[in-house]
Amino acid sequence: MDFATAAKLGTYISKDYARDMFDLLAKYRDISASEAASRLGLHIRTAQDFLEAMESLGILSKEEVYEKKRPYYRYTLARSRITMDIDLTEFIVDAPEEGPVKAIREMKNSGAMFTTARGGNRISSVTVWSGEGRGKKEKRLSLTNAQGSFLFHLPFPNAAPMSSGSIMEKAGIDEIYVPEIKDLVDLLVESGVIEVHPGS
Amino acid sequence: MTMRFESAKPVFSEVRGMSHEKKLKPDHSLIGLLPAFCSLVVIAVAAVIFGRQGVAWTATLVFAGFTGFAFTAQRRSGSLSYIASVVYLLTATLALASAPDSVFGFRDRTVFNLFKVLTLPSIATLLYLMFTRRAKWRGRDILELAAAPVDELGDGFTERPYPSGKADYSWDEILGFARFCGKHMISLPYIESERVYLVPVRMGKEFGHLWNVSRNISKDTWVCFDSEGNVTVNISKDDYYLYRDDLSFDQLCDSLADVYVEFLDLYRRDLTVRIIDRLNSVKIGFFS
Repeated sequence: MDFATAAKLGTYISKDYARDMFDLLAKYRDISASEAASRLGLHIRTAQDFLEAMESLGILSKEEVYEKKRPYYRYTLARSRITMDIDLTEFIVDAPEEGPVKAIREMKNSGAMFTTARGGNRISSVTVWSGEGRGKKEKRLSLTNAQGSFLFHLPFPNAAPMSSGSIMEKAGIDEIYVPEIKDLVDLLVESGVIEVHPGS
Repeated sequence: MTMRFESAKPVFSEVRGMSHEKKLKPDHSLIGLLPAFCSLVVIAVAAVIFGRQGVAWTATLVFAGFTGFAFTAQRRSGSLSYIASVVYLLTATLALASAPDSVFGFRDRTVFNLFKVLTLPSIATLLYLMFTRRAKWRGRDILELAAAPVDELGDGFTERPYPSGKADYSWDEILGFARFCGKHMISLPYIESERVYLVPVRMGKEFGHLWNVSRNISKDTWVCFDSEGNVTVNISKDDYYLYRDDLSFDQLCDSLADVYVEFLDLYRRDLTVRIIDRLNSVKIGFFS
């Protein structure tokens, strides 16, 4: 199941009426949206959306019927079991490719606000601003211990830039944290908090 | 035990021909006089509203209040000069309270004259301490010393603390050094379970530190020594922009750490007089 499909299923299945709706579908041979809505005390549109979503996911089947030439759908349970299977391997970041190592340091006048953790020797959060004037938006990132320690050791704006690997080594961060460090660096480069110097 | 400190730059005392050209902007702030000015205003208002007896009561209460503040400051910092302040303020308070028709309601001037005489040596002691820089918070001296070896310009200010390196010391030594710094008004120590923060307090800025017990120092200037030997530096925006030029920020942070590490080394070698000599050599004014 791809992530978008799983998200759609999760959204509808988490509705507080979802269990009652499946209970009805299990008891009735087939049911229309208006019948289900009246039985559960829902708005007809709510019931229709739910049934349509389940049909689009292949959990229900529907049949068009006519009442005095007015067509409508009747829904029937098509499956007795729903399995959600999401492949997370697509998110797992491989080790960085070999190539020229980029050196980084904090951008001068980045305007970011760093909050030091109570325990010291790491940053607990960084706040960045985007936009101008009234449209200015604040984004506060809470950092993991590894990210906080990395940011604590990031070279200052006028200091010699260092590679991420060297900073991790200086901060005593294990290699298993490379993906989350990379994620943070990418985000802060994008936000104009970190500047990248090619080659070193 | 030798000091190990990961810094390639010379420490301030090694800078040849260290000139006395100040890198800090001149201090024309009158904020240190604010309590005295406010007191005068309060007493003047009391004089207008309540007359002579109101002045006596108000002045006594003001002096009693400052005695309490000085006592709190002494307890917080351990500084000997605050003992002199407490003695002066207490004798002055008692003198004001024992004046004829004042708080104590004495008719004759015997007790008043006694406390008045006792006030004079305490004022003299206080003045002596002031003009020998013993009653002066050394924040500006420290900042000036830190800037001495930094010639490179480049700004680069950031609000992040700077991990300056490691130093060898025992926890007891750093606690002793922190007490020494407080006692001699070099820095105000903030002691946590595994960290000692030394905050170089500038004259006029001491009130917020001494009387605000729960002050958050994260945005102040400090040097932190932790139980594992890590030395971390933070320089506040206010303090950084006190310098005339935009000094290279990482070098300035490193240099500030060097100042404290060298002071710690002198403290461990029982050469504390040299610490005071170094601070006096900067020749910052008595009240700044």
